[in-house]
Amino acid sequence: MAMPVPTPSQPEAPLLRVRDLSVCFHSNGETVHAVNGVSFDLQRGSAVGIVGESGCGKSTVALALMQLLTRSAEISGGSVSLSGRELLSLNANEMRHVRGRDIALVFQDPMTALNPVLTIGQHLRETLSLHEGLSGKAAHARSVELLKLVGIAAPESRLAAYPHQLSGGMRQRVMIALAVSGKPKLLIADEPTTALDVTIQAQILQLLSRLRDELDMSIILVSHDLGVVANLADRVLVMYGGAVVEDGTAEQVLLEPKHPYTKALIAARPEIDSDRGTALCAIPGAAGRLTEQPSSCSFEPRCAVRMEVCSARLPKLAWDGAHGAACWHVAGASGEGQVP
Amino acid sequence: MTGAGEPLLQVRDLRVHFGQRRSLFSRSAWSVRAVDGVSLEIRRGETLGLVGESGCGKSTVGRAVAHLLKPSSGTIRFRGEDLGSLDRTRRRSLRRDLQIIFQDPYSSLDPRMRIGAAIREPLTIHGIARGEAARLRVLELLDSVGLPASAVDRYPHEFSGGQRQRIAIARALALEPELIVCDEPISALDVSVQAQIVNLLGELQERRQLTYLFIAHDLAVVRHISHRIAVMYLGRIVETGPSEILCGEPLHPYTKALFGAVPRANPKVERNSDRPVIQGEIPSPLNPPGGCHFHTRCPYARDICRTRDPSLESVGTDRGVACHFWKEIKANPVPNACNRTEAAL
Ligand SMILES: Nc1ncnc2c1ncn2[C@@H]1O[C@H](COP(=O)(O)OP(=O)(O)OP(=O)(O)O)[C@@H](O)[C@H]1O
Ligand SMILES: Nc1ncnc2c1ncn2[C@@H]1O[C@H](COP(=O)(O)OP(=O)(O)O)[C@@H](O)[C@H]1O
Ligand code: SF4
Ligand code: SF4
Ligand SMILES: [Mg+2]
Ligand SMILES: [Mg+2]
Repeated sequence: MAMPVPTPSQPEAPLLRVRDLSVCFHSNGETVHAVNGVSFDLQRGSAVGIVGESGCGKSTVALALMQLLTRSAEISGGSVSLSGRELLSLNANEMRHVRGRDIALVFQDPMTALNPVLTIGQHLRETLSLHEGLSGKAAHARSVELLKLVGIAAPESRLAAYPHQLSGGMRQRVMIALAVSGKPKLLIADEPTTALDVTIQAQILQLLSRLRDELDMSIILVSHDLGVVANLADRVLVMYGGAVVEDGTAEQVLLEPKHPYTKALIAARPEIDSDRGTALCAIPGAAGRLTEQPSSCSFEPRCAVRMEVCSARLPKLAWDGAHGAACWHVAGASGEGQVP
Repeated sequence: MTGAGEPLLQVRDLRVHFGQRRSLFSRSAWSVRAVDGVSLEIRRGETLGLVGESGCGKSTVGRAVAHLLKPSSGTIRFRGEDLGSLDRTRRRSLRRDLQIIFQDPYSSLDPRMRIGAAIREPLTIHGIARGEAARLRVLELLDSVGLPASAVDRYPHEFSGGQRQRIAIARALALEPELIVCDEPISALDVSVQAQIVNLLGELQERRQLTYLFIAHDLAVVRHISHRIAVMYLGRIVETGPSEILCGEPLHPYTKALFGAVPRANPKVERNSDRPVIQGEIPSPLNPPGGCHFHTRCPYARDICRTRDPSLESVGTDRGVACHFWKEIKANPVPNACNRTEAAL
């Protein structure tokens, strides 16, 4: 597959290189093809946003990178290399070392990730002892420092608090503190602000952006909200039906989208400063279930500009410089399947 | 929208307090002023958007209006009649004209009841139609929300979130209400499906002269759908006005902060905007700050804000703002750093 040619300004090898990643779930005698051949690069210190509607495979990609998928999941192919090291061939023990120290994950709902019977201090101590070998005074000092880093006021007094005694925003800050405690090179944040109010969302996005600079971290930000992604991401991947349908810089994807789905998604979303009264451009129907490996464009049933070829052949990403889109309307499109 | 005449819904000084008194058996007394003196009006055919951070009392206002809970004080007038002082039969017929739809259509639909029966139920209960007439009415309702007649024999789990919300809307429409309280009707849906439901609500409003009290988190959607907006903070309304004006030129510091925090899907705007991010979180409603509730987070707060509670002051004919200093802030919107209260994180 043709991938973007590295531009002279990014001579370094990417921090993360994902190629043809595929994941399926086996449940109730049925196979769900949740992720189908996802490829992308992530440069050191940069942020990539993954957007798409619920069920398109965003979280599955995030969990696959961490190898935290449930037992019913199978990584059926592909490669994930971090600083040149292949992660998919690591054993469970080696992978445990990668998690926390090289890659860390922040979820949408911190309540499920935090243990309700442990205090914030106990959470931090446990993680610090596991990843940094810290204990006693050193662990205490580092805990306070981490809470300060994520913008929690009076950190000393928060150490004794239990998760339920904190607000949602504060819990998310604690989750982020735990995630960055091992100074990971890559932070994966899966819908980190979806459960929060917009004012708190703005604070958390500001925090992530500051941490990226201060800790020189790369970020994968998963979100269904184009606005959230526009705020933080340098590159944006748009997913539909388990595949990346568009990939480019945030400006390219959000301001000059090529794929009909990306265009439709942008048009369906009212902007806070757009005019009232006109109807929103809804996308008809809803995303289908992924019980079969796609052999044609998954967006075809909902696409306003579909052609005959779309239901017969699966389009691959066609690249124009560093901007790719998987659609038969895009110049240079190629793909698999019978020509109708 | 009919601007003239009496408002369809008129809420005056509504208070809803939850809590527990100290008693023989429990020594702890607590009380939440979930709604603390809210007044609002909705005209016939109009949509009033109600926004504010989680826990500020939006749903409680909605539930009081829909008669799902009893206010601690205040009046709610619907078509000029005080809902609190009506006799049972009169109240029952008024309540028919006032429906509510919720965020999660899963929980509002009985999973064991076929869609046809679910929509038919209110028709039978209120003695509006039965037999063939009811069947036809159900089909007509399904059609009006964009669902096929074949939906009648299917169960809720066979439908997607967006379709279930259509079913909930059809059920609410069955009694031909005048006012529908929509409490986060699209929050659980995907963006593309949200747009379908927003458009459907818009069409239905036009065709049936419906009036909405529309509660939602997504401020861009609220702005899109509402004629007027009321902004709540800790149980009180801090600003109201026509949506374009309120979003375009907010007067209250909280409204500014709230609308300013909405991210735009435009990386250039997002990255170049040096709009300040409002710090701190909404304080606990169990123990709200004195004076102006917003003073702990307000960049303009001064001493008087900590002690005196600003009342909702009329601005022009159709706007209101509750801030001691709105005029000064309008003239000079740069917050004075010296006045900035330390953000209580
Ligand atoms: N039945 C109840 N008993 C006690 N407290 C309640 C009850 N219902 C609501 N409250 C409290 O009243 C306040 C307002 O709640 P409400 O549900 O109206 O907020 P909201 O604005 O709708 O929030 P959200 O955006 O999260 O839906 C909150 O502090 C809430 O905890
Ligand atoms: N544990 C699981 N078992 C079976 N199917 C799953 C599981 N987790 C996710 N899926 C399926 O995989 C697809 C992608 O899901 P997910 O990655 O969670 O999407 P997103 O995060 O984009 O909403 C969906 O079709 C979903 O139903
Ligand atoms: S390939 Fe065809 S159906 Fe798919 S997005 Fe492009 S035009 Fe639409
Ligand atoms: S009254 Fe004072 S604290 Fe309240 S919003 Fe106005 S300036 Fe801020
Ligand atoms: Mg997800
Ligand atoms: Mg609510």
